[in-house]
Amino acid sequence: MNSGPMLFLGLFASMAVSWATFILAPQLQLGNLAPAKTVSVSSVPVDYPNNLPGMARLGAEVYRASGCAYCHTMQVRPATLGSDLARGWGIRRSVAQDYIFDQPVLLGTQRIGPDLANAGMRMDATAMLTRLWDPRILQDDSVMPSYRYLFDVRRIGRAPSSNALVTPRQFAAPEGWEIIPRTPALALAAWMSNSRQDKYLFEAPPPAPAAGTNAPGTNAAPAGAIHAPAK
Amino acid sequence: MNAIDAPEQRAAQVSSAELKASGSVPILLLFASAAVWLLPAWLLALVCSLKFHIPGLLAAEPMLSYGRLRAASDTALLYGFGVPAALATCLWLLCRQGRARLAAPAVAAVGAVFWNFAVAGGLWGILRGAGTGYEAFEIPRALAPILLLSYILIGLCGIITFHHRQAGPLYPAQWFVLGAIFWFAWIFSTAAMLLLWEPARGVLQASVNWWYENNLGTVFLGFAGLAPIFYFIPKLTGRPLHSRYLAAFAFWLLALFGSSGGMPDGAPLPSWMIGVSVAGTVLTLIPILAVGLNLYLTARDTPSTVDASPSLGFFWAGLIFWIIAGAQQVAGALPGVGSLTNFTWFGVAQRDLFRCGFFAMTMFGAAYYIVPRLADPRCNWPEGLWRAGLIKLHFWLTLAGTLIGYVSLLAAGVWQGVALDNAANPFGSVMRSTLMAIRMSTLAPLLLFIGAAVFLVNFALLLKSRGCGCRREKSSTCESPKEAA
Amino acid sequence: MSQNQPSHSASVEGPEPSAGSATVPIWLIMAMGALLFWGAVYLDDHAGSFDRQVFEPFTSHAEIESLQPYDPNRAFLAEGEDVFNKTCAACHQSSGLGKEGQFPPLAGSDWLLAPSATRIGRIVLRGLNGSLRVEANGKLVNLNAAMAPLGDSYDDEHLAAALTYVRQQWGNNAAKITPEEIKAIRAAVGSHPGPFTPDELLQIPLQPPK
Repeated sequence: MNSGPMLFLGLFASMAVSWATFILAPQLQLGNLAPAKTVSVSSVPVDYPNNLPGMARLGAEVYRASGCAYCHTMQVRPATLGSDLARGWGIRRSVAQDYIFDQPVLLGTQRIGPDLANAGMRMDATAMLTRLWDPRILQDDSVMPSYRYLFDVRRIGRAPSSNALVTPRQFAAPEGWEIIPRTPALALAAWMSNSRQDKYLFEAPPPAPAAGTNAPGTNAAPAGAIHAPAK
Repeated sequence: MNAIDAPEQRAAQVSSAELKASGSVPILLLFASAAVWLLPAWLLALVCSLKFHIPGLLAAEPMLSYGRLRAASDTALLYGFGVPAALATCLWLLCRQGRARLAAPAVAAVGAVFWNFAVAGGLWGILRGAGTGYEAFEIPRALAPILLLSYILIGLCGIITFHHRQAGPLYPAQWFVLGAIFWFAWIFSTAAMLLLWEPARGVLQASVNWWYENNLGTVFLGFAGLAPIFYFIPKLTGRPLHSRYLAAFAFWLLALFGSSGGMPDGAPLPSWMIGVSVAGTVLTLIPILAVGLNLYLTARDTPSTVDASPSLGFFWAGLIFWIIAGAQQVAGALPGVGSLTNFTWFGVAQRDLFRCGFFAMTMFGAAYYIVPRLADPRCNWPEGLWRAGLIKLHFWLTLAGTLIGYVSLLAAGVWQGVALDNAANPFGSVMRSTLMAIRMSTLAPLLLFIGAAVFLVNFALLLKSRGCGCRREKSSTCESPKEAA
Repeated sequence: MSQNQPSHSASVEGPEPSAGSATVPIWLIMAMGALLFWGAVYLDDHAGSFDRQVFEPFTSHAEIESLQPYDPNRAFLAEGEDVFNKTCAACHQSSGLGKEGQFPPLAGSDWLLAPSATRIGRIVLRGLNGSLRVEANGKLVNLNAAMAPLGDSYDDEHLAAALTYVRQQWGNNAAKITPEEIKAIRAAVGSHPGPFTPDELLQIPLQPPK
């Protein structure tokens, strides 16, 4: 292999194979996903996912800017590949359909902290804000840093504000002061509350009904389809 | 071309002197950038690691929060140190092997300067919260074009230098160099297009990010590190490379299989993408064996020559760590293993071993060989520094830091993976049980930071040719100026 | 070259490296072959036929289909498709295009897409004989129909399912036919001898009487 052009051609071919496999083909398959109908045993199919409300979109940017993806993942693995579902991190595995309206999509590769794909199913906005103010309120040996700069500590006016954060005494603001979450904190909490992959989809169907129930399991045509006519 | 005769020796010498006249500025500039950016890279990594001891450390200041510091540290390591060092080594190898002057050195120097501006601006942007959020690709959107253009400027000089080479068969190192130069331009522009300028929809952002990170490491840094290894180990041991066919075999398989990989098992991607990624990664075992075998057979039966060149120890360490890191990547991709080790410190340990143990070590070895020759062509090797033990100090600091970090994070990762696999173990308690190992790993960035400081000192001394000993004393290592002409 | 002194002699750099020509060891090539084989088997098992909707641990689109929860509409259509494939596709073809001069098309057929099953219900129950003129997707088709009755082979539900299936396949988009409709038609044609003719059917109103 002594010729420059041949070397370049070979390199180009190798790059092209990798590009076609991991960039082009997935784009063709997944690049234009639109909301799909959920599947359900009992309820009416709805479109999934929904576009995020504005505050939640802002929250995604706060997630990005704070580098949360360096400690948290947002992808639930199937039961055969890990204990994610057994830990209650979701009702089903994550699939591509879950992320089509997210921007940016930061799935993360490290679990220094738990997975957050279904954080909205596990905690509400207040719990989220409490954890941001000081994670050690909820778990005393947590290594997660505090994000107190997302909050304002203000003097209490005539009466305490309705959105002031309530914390145990040793984490609270000094007497006469209150903790008010700033917009980035509220946005992050809104985004986390919307983090829920709680609808079943075609590619992630609900678990089969337990044996012995009356409900037919599947939609396949029953065997022996020719019946005697009912006269 | 098995025997080297006098005209070729002279050609090598002429190349050095001419290189000094023409191409040394951009190469030295790139090495200098790399040496300088290495310090903030390790310092930021050290602060991040310290936060595992004291979570409240510097938590009040958003610019010093863990997430931003991690992103900044990675960026400084990859784009401040990694790419410039790779380019410097590649350019020098192209000149040396092609027996040609560096083409358009002014353009390359301008590229290097703009690259540094982009990296500096990028780091500032990341600390201010403007990072993209994509791992190994955090340079803010506005600066990515400058980074790409600077790279293209430098890379083009390399390509033109290659084009002007003297006729003759290509040596394996040249393949790796060209591969590296093309690869980065390709993957960076693809990632920039699909993540920054026309963001792909949904989970494709993650797959493009993982594809980029895998190619940046395994292929770009891999090629850029293997090129000097393939050049210097035969050269410094005085033995021919065992087999060019084995080298070609490894090269093409690494290009083909090394570039497929990076998708974690269980990610929200169709199973075919995971399957192809797993299969490709496992197949990289073959080129790893091929490279290891080739260089082992090259240097087998050589008397110990580490003392002969301070660089050789760095190259051997780099090669061994490349093999270990590659083998670990193969192991981590295996279906049964991946489900245990994904998303744990296991992957971090592998990545760090690859970047520090393999790539950084190799770049240091290359720098210790190249820089004195560019700074002073009469110099044959940095005797002064070697005698003063400064190079050895740097070597041992880097080695110790790499190994301590690797062993502790590997242990933490395996333990974390096995413990987390059992859902009965609460997440918090698993985290707590790995904390000691993580805290021990803080020694790694500390030692590496000190090592980087020593490297910067060595670099400065080499630039002033003091390390060479040629100016101060009449050493047998130096030729008289007349002989050099 | 001594071991402890610098190896350069006479201040000359060492020679440029050269590359030998040893061949690639056969065992390495065989190892690569083995791993390639493993890779192929692995992809066969785990690549889900490169389908974009197949996520681990599922291995095929069919597997996911079979795991979908029971949905009465889907089950009804599946039943109709089953009947069609077993009985109707032989003549009307699985493409729904029929055969020139022999079997009428179903895709876009004006007969089929009538608002209700008054005519087509009679066809499937008692069969059809005679010269037939069908307009399908703008094309006029004339042929001699000879369709056997199915009323004795299938019950109301299966016939309704089959009609619903063909009315919603190949771009057709007509309303579902219920088993009750078929039951009513079966009662109405109880005494009709033999197959219908197209002329007879054209006298039948398109909508059933209220």
